[in-house]
Amino acid sequence: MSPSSISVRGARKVYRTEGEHELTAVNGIDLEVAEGELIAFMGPSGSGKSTLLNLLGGLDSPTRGSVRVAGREISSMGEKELARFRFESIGFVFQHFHLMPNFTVAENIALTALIAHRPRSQWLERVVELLTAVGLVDRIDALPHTLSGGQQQRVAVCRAIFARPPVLLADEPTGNLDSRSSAEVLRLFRRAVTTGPGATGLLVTHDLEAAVIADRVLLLRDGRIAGEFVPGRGEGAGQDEREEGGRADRIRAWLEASSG
Amino acid sequence: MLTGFVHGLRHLRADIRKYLPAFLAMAAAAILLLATTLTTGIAAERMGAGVESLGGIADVGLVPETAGGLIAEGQAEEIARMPDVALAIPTYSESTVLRGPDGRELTPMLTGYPTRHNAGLAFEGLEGDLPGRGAAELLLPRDIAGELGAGIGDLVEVLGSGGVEELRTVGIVDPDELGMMAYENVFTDLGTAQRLFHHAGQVTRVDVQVTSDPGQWALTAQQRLPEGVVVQETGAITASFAPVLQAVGIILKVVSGAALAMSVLLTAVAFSSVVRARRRSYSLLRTIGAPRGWVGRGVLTEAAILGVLAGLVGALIGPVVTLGLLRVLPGEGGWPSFPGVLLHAFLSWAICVGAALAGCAAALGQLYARGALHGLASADRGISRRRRMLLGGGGLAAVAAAAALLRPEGTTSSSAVAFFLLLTGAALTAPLLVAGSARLLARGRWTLAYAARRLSAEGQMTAPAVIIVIMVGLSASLLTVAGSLGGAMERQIASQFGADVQISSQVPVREEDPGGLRDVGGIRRVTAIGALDLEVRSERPEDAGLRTSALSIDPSGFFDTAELAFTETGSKGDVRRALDAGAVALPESVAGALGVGPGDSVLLRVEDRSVRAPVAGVFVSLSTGTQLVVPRDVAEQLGDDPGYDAWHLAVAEGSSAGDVRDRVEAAVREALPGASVITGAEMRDRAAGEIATYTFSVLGLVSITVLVGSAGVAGILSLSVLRRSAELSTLRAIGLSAGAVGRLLLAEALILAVPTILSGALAGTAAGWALCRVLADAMGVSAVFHVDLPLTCVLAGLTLGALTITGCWPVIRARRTAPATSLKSA
Ligand SMILES: Nc1ncnc2c1ncn2[C@@H]1O[C@H](COP(=O)(O)OP(=O)(O)OP(=O)(O)O)[C@@H](O)[C@H]1O
Ligand SMILES: [Mg+2]
Repeated sequence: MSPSSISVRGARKVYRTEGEHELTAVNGIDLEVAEGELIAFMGPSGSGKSTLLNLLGGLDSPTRGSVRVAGREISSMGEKELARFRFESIGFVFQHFHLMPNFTVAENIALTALIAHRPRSQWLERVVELLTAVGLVDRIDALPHTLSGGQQQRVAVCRAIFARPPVLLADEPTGNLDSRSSAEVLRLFRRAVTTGPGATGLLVTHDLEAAVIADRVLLLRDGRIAGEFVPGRGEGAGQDEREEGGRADRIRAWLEASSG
Repeated sequence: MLTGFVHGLRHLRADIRKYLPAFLAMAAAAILLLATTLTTGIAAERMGAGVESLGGIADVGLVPETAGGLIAEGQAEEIARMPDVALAIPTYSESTVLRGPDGRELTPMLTGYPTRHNAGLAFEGLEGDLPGRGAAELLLPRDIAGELGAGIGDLVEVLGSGGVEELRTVGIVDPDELGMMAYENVFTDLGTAQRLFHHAGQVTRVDVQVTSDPGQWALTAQQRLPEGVVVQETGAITASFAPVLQAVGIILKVVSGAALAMSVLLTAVAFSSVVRARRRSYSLLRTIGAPRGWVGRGVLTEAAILGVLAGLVGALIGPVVTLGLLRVLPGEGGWPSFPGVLLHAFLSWAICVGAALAGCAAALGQLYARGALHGLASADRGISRRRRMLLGGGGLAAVAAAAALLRPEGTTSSSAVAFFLLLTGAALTAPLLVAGSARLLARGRWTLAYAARRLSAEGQMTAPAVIIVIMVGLSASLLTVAGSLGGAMERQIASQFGADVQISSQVPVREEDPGGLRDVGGIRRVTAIGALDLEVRSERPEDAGLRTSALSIDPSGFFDTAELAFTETGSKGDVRRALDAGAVALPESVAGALGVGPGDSVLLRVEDRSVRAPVAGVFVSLSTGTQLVVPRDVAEQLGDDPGYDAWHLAVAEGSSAGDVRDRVEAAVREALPGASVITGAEMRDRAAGEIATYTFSVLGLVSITVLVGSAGVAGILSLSVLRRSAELSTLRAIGLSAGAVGRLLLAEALILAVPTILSGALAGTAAGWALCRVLADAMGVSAVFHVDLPLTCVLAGLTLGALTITGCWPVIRARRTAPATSLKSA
């Protein structure tokens, strides 16, 4: 097995809500994710999936425990360091796309390069390569609001993988898409993890069709990992549909068994 | 049951932070409005009180027709014989200096009255006696006696035209007993007063007690009065103060109007952004069947509550601010009755509520125009490009029209229109300007590009752009007014009152060299100056004359010690020679009013004597109003020698002005009690101090404007941060630090502020010139365009400082955007 890209030990996240109530969203999680692995988190609403993803992506710090991502301990990082860490090591895909409305498709994809003041000539080639792969190269200078939801999410995935970050995170990336667009976005995400040099992917989803692209499916309940399932390694993009349908059925059966 | 009102109330509670800037702006506008109306009312009241106290003791006052004229005692007797006249009391009054037994000095009015009426004057609690006929005796009100330290039997020195004389205090009376006459008056026998001021057989007014209705009597008596005597119109005196009041009123009204406009704008922004943010819940409500009116009532309720509360704050704080303003105004009292204050407070409160409702009108419009399903469609993108272009075009047209109106020969009203056109035009072009400068920067580096693209694509920043232009424009115009009037005043004072040492006496004296100035060492030249009241008119018979006063000077001596700030750049030597040859110099205000200039002639008249004199030159007249300068021989042709009340001294080489001043002060102490002796430098300092005082009050107004405006701009920016939380948190998630997100906001604020501050400053300076002309016309003086550079720097610093301080608020809000928000919000 390849070395761990993500290593979580005893992570807890406690939210202090109004009236001094304490709410433990993540309650002692241990997790090892190898380089090149794609993990899907599933579980009922409120089980702590997004919270865990926030901890792993450096959007939030754990109340207790250690979180190592891409070889760095991030649980004790300050706000500035975390920002730097996210900038260099994480690619995010959001449920609501979140493209910058006043920047073109190309500029949105190369956002990190823009922020780092790199000239267009240095990043245009990479943008064209990514857009060609998702079939949107003719929309390179379009503004986001002229794209469909599925197209916007494909651009968002391109943005996430533009700088080849070691870790890719997606929270419900297909939550706002129809099944055809979902399939395209998922294939893209899978391929980014498989072809990226040692990239690791973490995916939060309710969608069985989305979970099938994962190497491992983790079930969260009440802030703990309540089960793990390996649906059998597929061939990534381009695997045949019957095989995929079979995997989805197997995950459903497992989920039903674990929640029963 | 959830009524529309309760619904509105809940919404208001939830969105209270979004309303804060609008609330503060409305409260500030209400405060300004109330303070302004109260202050101008009180100022008028005080002036009125001052005028009343000039009024006489009986029903109707009769005064000479011409300024500076006198009434002969024979005429007074004629008046006493007129029908319905019960009693006619001739008096002679002149302002003078009194010196008490221990050297304390006061400058009251000395009034001589016919002591044959003493028997009819029953003062309760009179201490001592009333002055006797022809005697050198004095009756003092108790307060003045106290201030002078004079008791019964004490000698008080009085400065008359012939020098100092001693009068014995024979009586002290309670000022309340004197009624109107109590105001700074001391009394002696009529004959004594006439003798003191060398005006035997003449009086300054006749007070008449009538048996019929005084108003009616005054109307019918006018034709039958002796030649040269008219019924005193207290209105005329009020009218002479009115211009200054009017000028102050204009400025205050402009400022509170602008504050009101800004608060309406802010309310509009707050409501439309709140309604936009709620469009989902509104359309949901509509979808489940809530009628439009129900939703609308909710919004109206919120606006009404905001307006009512802000208005209350204004009504409570306004009177306090007024108290502060009143300390600056001269005079005392005049505070309106409690119901009066209540009425004003109610009015400004009502206007505030009106402003709040007007502000929510746009939001209501949005709500009503939209169908039930509209809320799910994409967010609207501010004002469209076409509308922006249209507004900008209109703005440019307004500025062009203003430029056309601002020609030198323009009238007061065209200047006033130009003022509003300039500010409105600049405000209308502001969105276009911001979009234009943003477009230039859109290809720049990341931080600039982000801010620039947002500003060029969206019309959301229309309101702050407009607010900045209004606030900077208004401030710049006020400062231009202060700079222009102050600068002109300073220049005039520097030249006209620039003599090395100056003496001014309270009372004109006949003596050309009181105290033997010529014997005081260190003086190179002394020139004596007199003053006279006269009427001046152009040679066109149909033109009306102008009553004013004049300095009578000896041209060679006067110009040897000081200057006049001539507006014509001809040779100064020519002007002096012309004055030597009997020409006169006119202040610019008089020249303008009469439509005459150098080369023309004017007619001067005092009572029945008149002189025709060519105009030698025109000079700036800010601190002396409509006062003319005439050579002494012209003054002598117009009447009796008016005496001298000022002396300009040129100090000999090698002597210091300060030393000479001290020696002169000692020399004239006896001959001219109460005279002030100061050096030219002190005069300039004093003038500078006075100018600084009023510049500071203008700066105070400007600060209020700038603060209200900046708070508004910051409020709108932070609303836009709230609305953009998803976008900003995405940037945070991607790896921008909190500081970097704050810098994006800063860049936005800069792109917004820099062009608008510049255009506001430019338009405001031009508008200030227009306002300056309006005010100068109202005050009957002339002003020279002058931008005070230090003041402008202070304004720029003030604006940037206020924007920076208030700007921290949205920047901090932006910095606080949590990166994890992007996972949740749409
Ligand atoms: N910022 C917060 N403050 C307080 N409590 C929070 C916060 N974020 C999440 N929670 C609580 O933490 C728990 C876990 O939330 P989380 O968003 O991780 O759930 P989730 O598994 O992603 O659910 P879903 O599938 O509905 O997105 C929930 O009970 C939630 O109410
Ligand atoms: Mg979630």
